Amino acid sequence: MAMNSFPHTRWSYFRTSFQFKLFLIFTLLTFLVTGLLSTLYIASEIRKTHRHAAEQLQMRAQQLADSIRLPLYAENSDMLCHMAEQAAAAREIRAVVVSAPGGRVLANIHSPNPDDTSDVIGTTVDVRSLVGDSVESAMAGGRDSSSVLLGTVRMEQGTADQSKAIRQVVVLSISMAIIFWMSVSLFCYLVLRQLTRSFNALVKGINAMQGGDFTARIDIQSNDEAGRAARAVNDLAQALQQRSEENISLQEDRLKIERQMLQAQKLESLGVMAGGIAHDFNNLLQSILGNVELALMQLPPESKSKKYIDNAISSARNAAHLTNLMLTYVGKGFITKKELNLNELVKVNAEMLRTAASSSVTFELCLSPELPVIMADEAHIQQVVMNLTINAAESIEKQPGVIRLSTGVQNCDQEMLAQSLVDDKPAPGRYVFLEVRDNGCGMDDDTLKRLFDPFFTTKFTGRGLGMSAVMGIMRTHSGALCVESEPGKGTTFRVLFPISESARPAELQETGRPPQSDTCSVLKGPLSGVVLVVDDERSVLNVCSKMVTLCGFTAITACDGVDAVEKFREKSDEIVAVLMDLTMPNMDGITAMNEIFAIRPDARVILSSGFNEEELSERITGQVPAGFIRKPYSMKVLETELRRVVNGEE
Amino acid sequence: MRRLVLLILALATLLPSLAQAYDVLILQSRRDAAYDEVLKGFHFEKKSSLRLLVLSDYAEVDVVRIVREDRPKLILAVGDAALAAARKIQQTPVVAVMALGVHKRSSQANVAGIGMFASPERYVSLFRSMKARRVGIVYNPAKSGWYMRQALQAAAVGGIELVTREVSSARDTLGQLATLAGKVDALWMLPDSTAVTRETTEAYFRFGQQHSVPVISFASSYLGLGAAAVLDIDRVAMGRQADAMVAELLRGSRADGAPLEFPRGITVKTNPTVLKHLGSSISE
Repeated sequence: MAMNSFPHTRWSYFRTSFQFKLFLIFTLLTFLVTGLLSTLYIASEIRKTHRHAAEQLQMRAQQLADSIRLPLYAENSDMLCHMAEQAAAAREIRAVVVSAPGGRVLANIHSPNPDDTSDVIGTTVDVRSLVGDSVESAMAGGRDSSSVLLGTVRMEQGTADQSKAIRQVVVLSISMAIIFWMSVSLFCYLVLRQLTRSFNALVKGINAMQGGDFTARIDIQSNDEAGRAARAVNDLAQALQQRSEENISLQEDRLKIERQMLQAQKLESLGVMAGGIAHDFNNLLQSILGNVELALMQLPPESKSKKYIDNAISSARNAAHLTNLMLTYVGKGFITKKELNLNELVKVNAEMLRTAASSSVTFELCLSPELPVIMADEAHIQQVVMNLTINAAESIEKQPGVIRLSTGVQNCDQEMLAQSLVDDKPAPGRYVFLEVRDNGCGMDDDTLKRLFDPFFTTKFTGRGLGMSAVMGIMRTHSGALCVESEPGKGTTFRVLFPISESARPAELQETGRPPQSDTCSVLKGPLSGVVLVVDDERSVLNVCSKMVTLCGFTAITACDGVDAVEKFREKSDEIVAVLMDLTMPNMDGITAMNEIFAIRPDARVILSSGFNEEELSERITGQVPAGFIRKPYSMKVLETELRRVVNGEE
Repeated sequence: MRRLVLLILALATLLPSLAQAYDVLILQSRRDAAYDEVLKGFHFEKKSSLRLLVLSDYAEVDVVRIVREDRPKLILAVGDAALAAARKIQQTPVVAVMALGVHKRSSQANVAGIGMFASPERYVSLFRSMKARRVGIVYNPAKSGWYMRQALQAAAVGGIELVTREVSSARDTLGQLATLAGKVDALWMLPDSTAVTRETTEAYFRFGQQHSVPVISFASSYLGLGAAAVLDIDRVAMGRQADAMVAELLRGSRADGAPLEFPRGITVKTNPTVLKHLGSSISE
């Protein structure tokens, strides 16, 4: 409300300013002083002019009186008139009257000027004899200095010249006064403007700060009170600016934490959902895949239906892969970390992609020769390489382009790692990086923001899980991921993996387990014994017990943990292995396993689950199981695992 | 009652007179430094038998009664006023100094003194030294006729032509001076109270300036007004001259009675500037 009382227009602002008030005071004061001095000067000049005219007239009359002394004494009227006329010829002389001592006029000269209506001043001068001695006084020593009155001279003069002179004095004085007054006022204005400049700067700065601009600084032009006030306000503004920046920083941190919490909650929710879905899907897929495999085993090799059965098996495995992608994104996918040479992985995948990609795409490899090994899941890293390279190839589309894959070692500090898009920032240190650079169409900001969201895709046929899987893999590997992209110029992905503690120089290493063949292989030896198959899903239980039976074992089934413990207690001596689902009602697999180990500590238990093995190991606190297979598994995988557990075959 | 008053007055005047008997009664017109110079030459301080009476100190002085009562042997009149008062005395010899009227002695044989006029011969000598042959004079015959007669004689002896103009009033002086234009080589101012007044003094010097003739005057005060030279009277010498005259009279050695003398202490004073402007000089 106080703001309403402030002046709004420029004039009213100036009118209420300190400068205007001082200027008004100085100007009025100067005007009064100048006016007073001018009036006094004019009055003095008028008096001086009058006095000068009177003195001049007196002098002229005295001059005439001195010159007519003898003619006046002789009363020579002609000569007196002649001399009076000469005196009257002077400018402005109106009358000259010469009189004898008795008042008798001996000469009277008038020179009226009808055009001159000015006043007349006059003076009368006595005409006296020369100051000298009479004979007696001269003889006595000449001390007598008296003189004798011979007559009088009266002279009159007009005042037109005086009036003109006075007018000139008045005009000149007023002009000079005005010039002086204006000069002083101008000088005052300039001085006051200089003096109040500091105040104006102060007000301007405060107004700017009042508007929220704490970066504005008042220009300190002097070290006077205004300058010191400006300095204090600047300090205040700096403090406010610092506080504002701190508030903004805190606000950003808070928003960031909120985003991270939201992301974590989202991931957790997604994890729960994906885990549940994956579990159920994997059970279903286990049932489907197991039954189809059993059906395929019943068909003759020449059966025409075999092709369709194979298609069903392939689709079921794709479905299992899709389920694994979901789990990977939420960090629950199957990972098996081992020392891995990134260069080899890139080489293998690049060869494969070069053949699959468009012929217009040129692949360039720039691999660092001395690359340390990393601890990573080979399949996942392969998925990362594939996804990033495919993404780059698709961004180039059919135009000629270049995809450059680079590897190397990089020292990363906190600032560099802060640019990582992975929520959990790794610790500073040495990292092995893989960079995939393309000169394709690039991405805009909106695309970049949603790049790693699940099911977000810009492609017609994509599922939108590739990049989100990359993000999940990097998260599970405690790595970092940076993206630089500009529409029309291309995109650069850089993924960084922490170097393995062993940090052996990269050599070509065999990747983990040999590739498992999904086709049935020649069995190494006969299998026998009783295997307890435990699963709460009836269909899974049936197909698994059938698969166990086909492997050569005698299968007994249990529908949950309690049932499994009970049946194991009944036939603990006969049971050679227990194939048990992890998630079951009444009693889960781990609890049941612990109960079984309590009955027979050397019992061989194989747990199966739709979750990965690492998650399982986190939940097992006591004796570990003999084996673990992930649903859905094939007949071959099951037989291999049973052989390993029961017979100790690899 | 009247008799008593007269008796008191008589005693008051006679008793001091008896106590202060003296030879010379000095009547002084007024207190004046010029008169003091004369009395200085008169050796006034050294004389014990005299009485000084300054007339201007009294409103009215009965000189006749004083002389009758004091019976001085001689009266020294200093100034014209004193001479006028002394002229009332018929029996006592009167010696006048510093008085222009001393030359009116025709009716009074007891009046003698020293005149205010320098002797004509001194003036003629001055004119000769200035090589002035024609000298103009304006005078009133009634006042200066006696002097003019002597002046004419002295001029004739000295070879100087005097061009005289007579006036009877001061106003005539201006006109008479004008008639001298071109006729004189010098102008001689006489101490004539008719021809020379305060009103006409200027006319003499203006004449001299207009016609480039030197004006020879009688008092040094005129040098400042434009006189080329003056014959000034030495008043102390005049006093000594009077002292000698008084002494002779008191001794009775002057058988011809009271004498009338020209002053002997005469000094020639000049205004060099005026002489230079006029191109004139005074040879020794």
